[in-house]
Amino acid sequence: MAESHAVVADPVARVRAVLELGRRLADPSQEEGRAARRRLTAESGLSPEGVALALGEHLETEASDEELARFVGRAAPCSRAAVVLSANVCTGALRAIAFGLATAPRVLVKPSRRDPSLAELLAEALPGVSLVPSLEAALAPLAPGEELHVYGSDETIAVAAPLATARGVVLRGHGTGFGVAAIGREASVAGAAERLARDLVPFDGRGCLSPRLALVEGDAERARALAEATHRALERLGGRIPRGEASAAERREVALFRRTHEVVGEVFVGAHHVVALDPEPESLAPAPALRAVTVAPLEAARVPARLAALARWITCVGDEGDSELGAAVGSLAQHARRSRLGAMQRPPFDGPVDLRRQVPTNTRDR
Amino acid sequence: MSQAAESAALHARVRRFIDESLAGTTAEAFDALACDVARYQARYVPAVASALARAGLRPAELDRADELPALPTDVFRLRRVAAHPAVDDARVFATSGTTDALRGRHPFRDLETYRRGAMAWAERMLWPDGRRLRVVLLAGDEARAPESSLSYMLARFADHLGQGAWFWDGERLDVGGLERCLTEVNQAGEPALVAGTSFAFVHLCDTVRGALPLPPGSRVMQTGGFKGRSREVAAHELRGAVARLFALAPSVVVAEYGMTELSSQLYQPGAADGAREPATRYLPPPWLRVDAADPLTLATLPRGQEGIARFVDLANVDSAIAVQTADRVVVSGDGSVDLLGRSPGAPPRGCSLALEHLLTDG
Repeated sequence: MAESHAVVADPVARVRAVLELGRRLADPSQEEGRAARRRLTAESGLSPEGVALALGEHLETEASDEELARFVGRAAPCSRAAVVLSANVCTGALRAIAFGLATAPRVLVKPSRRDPSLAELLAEALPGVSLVPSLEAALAPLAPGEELHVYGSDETIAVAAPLATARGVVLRGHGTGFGVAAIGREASVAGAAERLARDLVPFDGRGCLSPRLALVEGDAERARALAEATHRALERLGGRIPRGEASAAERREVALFRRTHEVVGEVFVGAHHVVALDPEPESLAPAPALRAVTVAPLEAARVPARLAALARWITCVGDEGDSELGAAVGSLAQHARRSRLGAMQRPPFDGPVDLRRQVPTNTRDR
Repeated sequence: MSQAAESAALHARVRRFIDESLAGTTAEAFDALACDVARYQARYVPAVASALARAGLRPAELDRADELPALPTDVFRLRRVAAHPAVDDARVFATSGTTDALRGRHPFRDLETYRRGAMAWAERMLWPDGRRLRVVLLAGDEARAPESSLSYMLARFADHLGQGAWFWDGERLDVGGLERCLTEVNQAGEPALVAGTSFAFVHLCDTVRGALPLPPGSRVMQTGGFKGRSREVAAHELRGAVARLFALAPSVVVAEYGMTELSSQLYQPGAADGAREPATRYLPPPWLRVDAADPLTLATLPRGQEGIARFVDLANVDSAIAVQTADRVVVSGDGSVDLLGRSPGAPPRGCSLALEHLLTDG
């Protein structure tokens, strides 16, 4: 596709244009909204209800002036940027492309192969945005000092890093990550379970903010109560918003996760989810995608010992307020977002979803 | 009988099984021995007891190995899987990785059964001709990597065949030292066994200009995945590249399949008879039974169907006799295994994007 030359000079205006398009994509009464629903239902793996949830409640459409200023302020301006997208969150293209446009007036986008629609719809409508078919094609036009933003696994970023470095291109990598829910001692188990379920359902738990671990301050019985209540909440939500299609690899991972926790603890299995309880965790294992979560009791004082090994992958900590447990997890994962439970998948529009790496990846010791 | 005495008795039976099964003399029935090991583990290994209870199986009524519930490899990360207390550990092997809390661990009270099985099957698959071989190793030596089951096994190869020379310091391949060693081997006309990790061989192929020819009768064993330590190379491509590097027939470049959670190994056929074999076919020893399991139910599938690899390893006496992996396989009627794909390793498996999505068009 030929690159558009009708670029906009002001980065804030470029980002506002993305949000304006987001409003049309989110609105099922608009042609763009209908096209997005049709195409994402066909390719995202989510159920039609899951797509409607993603577009209606999780696609970014608004930002305050302050948020916009912070969003643009996190970017390092240059003349051209390239964005390589992953397939896990079907709405993720919007914020990623917006951050590309906050960086540069011309943005090359390599959509995910499995889930290209939103990127295509955005590129069709946004001045300065062009699609490219591969990483090589994204890198080829970039000059030294221009930026490559890669959204994917750590392995993906490891592949891109030397290619970018060889060209003098700055790489910003947004790699493997997951969310942690922290249910403090004061929190209501029933309320926390409802809100945790609301964080697990969007994108069928595939997102890098999706909670894969739920830590419960208290004993194993309290953790079990949370697991069981989350199971019931997911049953109710799953009735309204069924889980979509899963790949063979995802189903295999979930089957092994389930068997593992049948052996070490207890599992609560529904038609659309798996909640696993590890009542005496010696080591913590985040769940795979597909609305799965590991619930474990953990005292705040034990967080460093139990969670330090996973800290660099924690993108988001959700809790019910100012819990000691949430603070302990947050202090361990200092660059993770802090959210209220139930809002982990709706981060403010103040930068990329993943704030862990805000300096170029290929200039850091990883 | 004490736990230690029960363990010792079972180790003795398994060692006898190893010897007799390869000698073609009457070995004890695999299923009976497997079920006796499972009954012992049900008494002393909580994870095995839990798996049996969840499956609704009473230890006393076990009579078939294929019904034993297999422990997923992740259980070895989350719990100690051992019949004996930690104070009795002779060695603990651990999966690779730099993050200690994410490594799976396999404790051993008695390593002799491991050694006996590893040596017996390697002798059958790697040096059945009994030739004297120089041993050149592209892996971390046992002193540097005491938790590596691969290093343990390769050290035993070196003990048996002669002095081994190690050329991987844990971070880097000593290419210069290796070149000098192989030049000397070639000049002496002494055939060699060159063994090591796949990523070390990839690094070697990428680094060395020209060939490092080895004398006739030499052979190569490469094992393991790439673990992000080198570029990924398809099995048949690596086999071809290694064969060209050493000026050997591809048939004597043999892949080994092993894992920390097992005590036994599989090999590609080839080194024994020079037969041309597909790069994905592996043979287990008689004391290791492999089945494909349904990836959703984990039930054992009939031979010939694709599933995920389920191992019943008699040599896992003091841990878990049945182990479930996520590696995709087809098991033939003769018990040989087509390895279709290895799983990506330890969690976390968060946002992910397959490499081919990144590197290929569309």
